[in-house]
Amino acid sequence: MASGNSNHDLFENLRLELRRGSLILAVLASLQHEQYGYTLRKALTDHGMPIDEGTLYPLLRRLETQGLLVSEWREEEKRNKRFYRLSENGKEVFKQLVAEWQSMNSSLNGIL
Amino acid sequence: MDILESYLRAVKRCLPRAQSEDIIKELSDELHSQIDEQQAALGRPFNDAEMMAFFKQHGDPMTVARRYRQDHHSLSLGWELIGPELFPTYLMFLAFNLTLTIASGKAAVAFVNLIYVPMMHISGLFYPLPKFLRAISPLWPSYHLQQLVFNALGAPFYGRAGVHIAVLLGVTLLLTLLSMRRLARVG
Repeated sequence: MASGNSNHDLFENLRLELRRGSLILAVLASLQHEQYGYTLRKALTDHGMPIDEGTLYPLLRRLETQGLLVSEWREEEKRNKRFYRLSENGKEVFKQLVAEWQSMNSSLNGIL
Repeated sequence: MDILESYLRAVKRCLPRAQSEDIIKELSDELHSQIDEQQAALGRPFNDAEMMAFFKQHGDPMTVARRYRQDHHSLSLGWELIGPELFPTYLMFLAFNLTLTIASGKAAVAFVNLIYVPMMHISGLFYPLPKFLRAISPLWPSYHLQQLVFNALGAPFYGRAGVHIAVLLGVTLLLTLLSMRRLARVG
C-alpha cells in the first residue's frame, strides 16, 4: 500500500505519538492550579500547545479515572463548570515525570 | 441555541450511558464558552449559517462521542480497517439495512444478514475477542475469509492462504450440496 503521501502519513503518526506524551505532561503541569477545561485549553494554546476539545476532555477523564486528577462541579460566570486539579497522587507522579522528562531530554540532546 | 441543544442531544445518544450526563454538561459549557467568545469578537450573535459552520467544524456527533469511548477499546486490525471514526456509522447502516430488508419482505436476504453479521463479530473482524472466542474463531467460515482479506491487504494474518481457501471451498461445497438436497425435496 505505497501511496504518494505515505511518508507524510508516517510523519504525522510519529509526530502524534511524540506529542501524546508531552501533552499529558503539559496538562498535568497546568493543573497544579485548579482550572476548568476551557481555560486550560486557552492556557495550553497560549503556550504553543494547542489541543482541540475532542482530545482534551477525553484525556482529562482518563487522567481522573487513573487517579491523577480530581474534579468538582462549581458555578462560575453563571454556568456550571468542572474544575480539575492534580490529586495528591497526581502531584507525586507529576514530579517523577518531570524528572524523567528532563533526564530523557538531556540524554537525547547528547544523542542528537 | 436550539442547534446547540440538538447537537448535544445527538452526541449524548452515542455516549456510554453511565457518563453521558456528565460529559454533556462539560461539553455544553465548552461550546457555550467558545460561541460566546467568537460572538464577542464579532460584536454580534452568529447568524444561522455561522452557527452551522461552527458545528460543522466541531465534527459530527458520532465522531465526537467516539473519542470518549476510545479508551474502552483497544484497537484491532478490523477496527482500524473500517476506522474508529466510521465504525459507529457503519454499524448504523448495518442495522438500517437489516430493518429495511426485513420490512420489505425479502426475508432470505435478512436471514443471511442475521447469520452473517453475528458471525463476522464472533470471528473477530471488528474488535479483539475474549480469549475463548478467539480460540474457536477458526470454526466460523468468515474467519478464513478475513484472513485472506488481511493477507491481500498486506496486513498480518494467521494461517496459510491455501488452507483458508480450502476451508472456504469445502464449506461452499457442503452448503451447496445441502441446499441442493433441500431444494430437490421441497423446491
